[in-house]
Amino acid sequence: MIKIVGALAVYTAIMAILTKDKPRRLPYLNAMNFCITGVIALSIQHPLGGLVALTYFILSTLESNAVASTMDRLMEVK
Amino acid sequence: MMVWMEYLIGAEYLIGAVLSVVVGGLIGMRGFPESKRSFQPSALFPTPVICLGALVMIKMIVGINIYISVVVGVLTPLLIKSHLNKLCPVVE
Amino acid sequence: MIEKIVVAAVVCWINFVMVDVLIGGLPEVPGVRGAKHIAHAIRNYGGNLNGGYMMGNIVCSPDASAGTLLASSCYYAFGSWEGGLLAATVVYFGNRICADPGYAGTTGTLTTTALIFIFSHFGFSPANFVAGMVLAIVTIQGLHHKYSSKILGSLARKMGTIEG
Repeated sequence: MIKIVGALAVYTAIMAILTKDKPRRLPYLNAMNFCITGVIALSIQHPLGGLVALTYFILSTLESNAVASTMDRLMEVK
Repeated sequence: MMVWMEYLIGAEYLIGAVLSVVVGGLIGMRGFPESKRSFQPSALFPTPVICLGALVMIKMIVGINIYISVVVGVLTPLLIKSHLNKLCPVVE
Repeated sequence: MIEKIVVAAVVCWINFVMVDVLIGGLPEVPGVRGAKHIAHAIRNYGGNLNGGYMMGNIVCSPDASAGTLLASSCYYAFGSWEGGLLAATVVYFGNRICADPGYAGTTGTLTTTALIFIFSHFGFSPANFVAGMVLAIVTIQGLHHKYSSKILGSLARKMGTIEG
């Protein structure tokens, strides 16, 4: 099961690199973060593994929020 | 005196959730949230969720019993009413 | 194993799309500035604007999709339904940090915990739901943005949360 999730992570990462449009890279990166959270959660069956998955996903979402709003602000300046 | 309490073992989460909603109503929070986009905490939406999460964290560390769940269920609405909107950003 | 993952993916897809559209109201307005930017990029690519709003909101704050994934992974990690409650609290605070009221994320986490508790009586493991949720989010965000945004927009129009 962990191999399926890992294969999807590789696929979304490759799609994020191949896409030319900059704002449309962010949904691919978000899907990649989902896949990595799944890999982290499936690899350790312990409550601390669950806490690591929670922390990773919340902070990655915060980071994409910051990146997207910075892109919008840069567009406004131009 | 302790006989009736044995029926409550295993219902710590239920006691905490119900008590947090009741105490939240008693200290004057609104019952339902205003709309889909209001940031004001109400008695029914974030209060029992935060109380249950706090009980799970306490169970991970020291274990829970009925007294702990009563104390957490009383303290959570007070802390939410006084401190939640200072802790997190509010967008108008 | 494969058929269990597919069934779990269908259940997770229906759960998070229904909660996002009905309770969160994600296709109506962009919650933050970045969501609007992503939605306009998707419309320029040929998609639907309201579906783009929903995809941008999923990127910019942990909504019911994140709640579904984190509830199933914490259910798997804790081995009981208590993990879902912890995930609900953490998702609520994550939503508030990202300037979102947090109704969709918390409701999605609690409904997913209830769904996994029901399905665990039929032989489904929470690990099936982790893989199924990853599969479901890849069909929305990772396959083809034009068609997925059109599907989301028409679904929101059928449920009556946006007009037109």
